Amino acid sequence: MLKKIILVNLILVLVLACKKDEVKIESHTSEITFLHSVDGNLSHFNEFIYTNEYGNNYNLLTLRYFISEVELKALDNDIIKFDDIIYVDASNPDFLKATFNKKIPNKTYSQIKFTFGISTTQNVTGLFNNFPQTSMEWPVPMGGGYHYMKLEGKLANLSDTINYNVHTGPLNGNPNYFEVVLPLDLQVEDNKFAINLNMEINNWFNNPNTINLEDIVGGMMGNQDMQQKLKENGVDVFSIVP
Amino acid sequence: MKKAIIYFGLALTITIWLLLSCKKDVVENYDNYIPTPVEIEYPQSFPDLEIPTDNSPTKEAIALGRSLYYDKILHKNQVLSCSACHDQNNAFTTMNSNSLAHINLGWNHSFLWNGKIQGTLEDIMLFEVEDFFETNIELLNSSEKYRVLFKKAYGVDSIASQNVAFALAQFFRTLNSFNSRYDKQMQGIVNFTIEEYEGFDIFYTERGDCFHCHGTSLLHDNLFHNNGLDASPDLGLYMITQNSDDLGKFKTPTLRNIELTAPYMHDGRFQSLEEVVDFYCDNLNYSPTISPLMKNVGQGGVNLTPYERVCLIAFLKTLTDDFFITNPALGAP
Repeated sequence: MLKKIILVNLILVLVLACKKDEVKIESHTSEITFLHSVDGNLSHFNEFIYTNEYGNNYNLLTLRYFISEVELKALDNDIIKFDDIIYVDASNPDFLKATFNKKIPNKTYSQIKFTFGISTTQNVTGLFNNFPQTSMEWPVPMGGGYHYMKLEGKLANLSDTINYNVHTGPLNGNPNYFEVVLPLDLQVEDNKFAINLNMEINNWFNNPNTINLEDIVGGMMGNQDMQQKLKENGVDVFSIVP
Repeated sequence: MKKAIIYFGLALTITIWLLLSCKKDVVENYDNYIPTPVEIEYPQSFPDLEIPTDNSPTKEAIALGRSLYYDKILHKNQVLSCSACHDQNNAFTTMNSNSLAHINLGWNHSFLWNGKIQGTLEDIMLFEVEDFFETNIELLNSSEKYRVLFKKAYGVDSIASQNVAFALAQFFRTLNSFNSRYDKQMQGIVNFTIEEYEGFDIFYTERGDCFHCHGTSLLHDNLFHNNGLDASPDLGLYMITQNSDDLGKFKTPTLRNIELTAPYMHDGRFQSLEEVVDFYCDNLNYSPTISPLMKNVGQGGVNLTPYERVCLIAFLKTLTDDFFITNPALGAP
């Protein structure tokens, strides 16, 4: 009997010793969550009337945009790049988060940089065939490619309610996109990160240019002067928030 | 003698009965039939065509779907087929109805003017079979022709509503239009006339501003809009969502073959492209849910000049696909 017990134990030991180590698949999913505010408060669609610097009373119905060429810069000047062109729809929960499956070196990152819109070399008609991105197309007669942003809603004025469309994009090939550089204090420890990027919508309409939305009621896609003003105003639209 | 005759009669009856009971059901001939896979072709500029894995396209299922499309057997009283309201000569709609044209529906995720059915072609076809036509499935099951066709296409001995829907969906996935004069111009094969080109410019700039809803290679945005038809609009998408923001919103139809698909709008109120263009130029009506893309509602519309209206219509006519409306593979079998 004792011999049998020893034999069984020996067999068990051999089997367990030969058992393969499980291959551990690590997940390194980082994310950027997109938030949208008006005067520091979370924006609501089709609900409140907001007021910009000029004094336009307006609401929000549509906010869709692209960001691209995201980069993280570490304290030691290492750069991590993300090739994705990210589509954001502020009223659609499916498009309020960008995820990246990339192992991020564990270190401190002091800066995030990205392009608001899509750079000229990438922004060509045919880049997107599928919805919803394809519906951001910028017409060929106006230069082709895709809108950077569609910000739409209604203006309330004394006599009427009228619609506004703030549509920015590559009018006739002009580089109306711009770079955003924001400070970070990001300590990456598990090879992944999560940050919140906020768009302060009212800042599109001020600093340095005060925008009267009634000036663009008929549209601004073909107005390079207005495209330039919006580009300049983009300087303080974005921030990293807790 | 009498006994011999009786015995002979009995033997003959038994023999015939035995022969009949051993006779094979015709569909059993196709027990091992393998349908022929096919690939649906479409331009690179189109979105990806999503095909459910349980209804991959085959020659047999497409042919079956086509047969059903043109057959009154679909209707509960056998008085209507799909083709009764969806005529190939009119790009699969008809002049006396406001039914949406059957063009490129494989790329849609919402069906019917008010978006009542969401999902795939299989979903809308099941609605058509069970709710619209109320197809008498037993009639199909008693048809040797259809029992054989369904056996070959789907391997089924007994036809069910889902099989009918799947076959129709397969045929619908071939009702694709992408060979219009406009497509050929974009490929550099033909040149527009001056009027057509000016119309193209009006369509694709904020002068006419048509592209914001009727852009992309499909000539629609896969969305719903209140386009300013009425100050008190019909319910539209609200009927489905019960969301007051959706009052008056209807599905953006494709403009492909638009020259052929009158009357226009969800209620067929406009009989001609001229009436449609005049509406968008001068007669927009504000309502609280009007699309923000209707930027010029305060002026009644985009106020095109008479010449600009002629040019826009000239451009719209370039969206007609002569191959699509004459392709025998899509016509009655």
